[in-house]
Amino acid sequence: MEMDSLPNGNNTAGTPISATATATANPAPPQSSNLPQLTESLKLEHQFLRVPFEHYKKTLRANHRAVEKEMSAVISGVTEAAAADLSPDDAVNHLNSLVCRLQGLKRKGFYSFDFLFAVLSLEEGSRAEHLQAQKCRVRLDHLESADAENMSEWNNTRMKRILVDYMLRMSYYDTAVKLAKSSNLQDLVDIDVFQEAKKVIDALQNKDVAPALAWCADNKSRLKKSKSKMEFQLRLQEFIELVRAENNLRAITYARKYLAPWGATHMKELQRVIATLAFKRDTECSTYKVLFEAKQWDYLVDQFKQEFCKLYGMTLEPLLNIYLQAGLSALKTPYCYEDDCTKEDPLSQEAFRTLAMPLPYSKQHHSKLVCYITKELMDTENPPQVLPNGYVYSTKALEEMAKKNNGRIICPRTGLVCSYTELVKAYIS
Amino acid sequence: MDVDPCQYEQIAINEKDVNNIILSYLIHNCYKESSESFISCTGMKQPADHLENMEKRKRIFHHALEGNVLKAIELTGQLAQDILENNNDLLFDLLSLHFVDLVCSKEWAEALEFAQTKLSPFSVKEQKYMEKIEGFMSLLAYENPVECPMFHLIGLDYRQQVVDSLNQTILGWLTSLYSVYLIYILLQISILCSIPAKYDLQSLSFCLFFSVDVGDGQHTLTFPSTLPWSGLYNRPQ
Repeated sequence: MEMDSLPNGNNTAGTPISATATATANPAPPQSSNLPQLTESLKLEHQFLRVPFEHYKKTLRANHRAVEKEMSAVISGVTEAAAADLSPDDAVNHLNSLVCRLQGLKRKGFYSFDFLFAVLSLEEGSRAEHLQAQKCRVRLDHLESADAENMSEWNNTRMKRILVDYMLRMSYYDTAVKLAKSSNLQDLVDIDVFQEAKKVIDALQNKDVAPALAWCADNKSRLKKSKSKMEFQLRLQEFIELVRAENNLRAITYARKYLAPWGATHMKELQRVIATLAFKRDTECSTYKVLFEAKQWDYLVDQFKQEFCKLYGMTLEPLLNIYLQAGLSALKTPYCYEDDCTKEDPLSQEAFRTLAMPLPYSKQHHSKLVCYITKELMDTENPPQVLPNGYVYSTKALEEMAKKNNGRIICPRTGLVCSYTELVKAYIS
Repeated sequence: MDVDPCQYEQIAINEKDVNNIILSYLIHNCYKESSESFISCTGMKQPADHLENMEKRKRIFHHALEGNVLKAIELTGQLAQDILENNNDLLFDLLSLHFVDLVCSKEWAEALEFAQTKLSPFSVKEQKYMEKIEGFMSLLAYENPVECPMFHLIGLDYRQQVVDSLNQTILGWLTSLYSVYLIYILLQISILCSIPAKYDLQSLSFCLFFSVDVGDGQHTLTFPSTLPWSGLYNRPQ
């Protein structure tokens, strides 16, 4: 975790976000000027609304399939009853069971276990639909609740949401759950969605592709639409494991069943992997040796995370990185990369430099002068003044010093002593 | 070529030289019965080992075409040790034909072992063999190799191409034994036809625009306008 390596990580990490919050809170009195900033801020909330909606749609599709299955069972039951010669009592009982099935009713001990499981499954699906629709509504309400009066609280909640998102993406699930619970954010974060991803990722890290393949099957139409190669790559890796185990005949059978259908579109990759049969696992040929390395599973995990985020409409980068980069784009200057860069600058930290690498330098029309003594900005309200030795300090700092020293100024850099009256005002262009 | 085509009929061509060209074609393509019949009808005399060598080439040729590539390789080695040893491309192509035969016979285990022991060592030598091996191995991924995008590798065209290459290689080796004799024939023809004495066989194509009845009432030979062994004579001496 990059953040752990920061010695003063808490203060430095908090600075950009706090600055954003402060800047947003400052224009609080005139309400009209607050709306544009809020509108800009909400542009980054696309994921906030999209993820529960995608989850909701997925549940709807699963429930729709379950209902269709039940309906076809009932219809075939009716057809079967019509064809058979049943006694009136048997017919009544049969129809009653079908009606109960349609209504989703259940009575203890009256029906078979299979039927009970089917009904329970339908009820659970319905409950899941309700919960997810409610979550969508909660988030819409949350966005609507952002206004001038509670902006500080709203921004605080947003920061916690961002942190939970970051932890979930970095697989720190327990910490994320604790933070969400302590701040009552359960409906505002996507823990259940990431739990689904966690199962697949854990299995892949244990070299098991079955959950990932099941996930691909569940989302087959969506993945096909986006031309995903996830399933193909999982199949390739499983083939490689068979070759590694020198299970060559099973590998050939596997290739015919699961790899051949991809030959029309991904022949180059297919050929390279099939050729491992000729070179075997201990080959020194670098082209094929790399295919047997353990890090191929790491690539699969990364690939799965990308596909997962894409499918749910999430950003590929954690929200925390995106917000930090937005702040860093204003702070990045060539001076940041010089040796005497001040420690207060976030870009003096390696982690922030990495984040800022792809960003352009910020455009500064005018220089900003900061007082050496007070660290405050020197502007028209606090103009710089020049000592006889050429050093420049802010007016406020020098006035303060003169009061304490009977009108005498002591330069903190050179120790020069002079009278306050000897100072010359400097002008900033 | 500055001869007016209308004057072709007036050019006196030595029948003996024409017969030599025809016989070369027949021997090149292992038409043993035809060449024997041609020799007897024209009264020509040929070195005995010429026919013997053709017989050897014919057996190699047929073994390769009929799916017994390993036998063909063995016989080629008996003919001369260095024909295939100095030609990795041809040796790889022949071995790949054997791999294809195993795949088409559904002998998966044998095909795999053959690829591991005989084909993959080539990749250590050059990159191009690696890509060829990938193409051949992909045939294994399909229950019916015809469905594989690389299905042309199991086709007759590819096999014919490889076997022709083998035949040319053997002829190239044999030709070095008779190069003086063949050059003599070529010079004779070029003088008679007023063609510059260089090995540009396309200039000779007009000589073959005719059919020849070899006299036994069973064979009528019609020659194409291009010579199948034209690349042979371009080989540096």
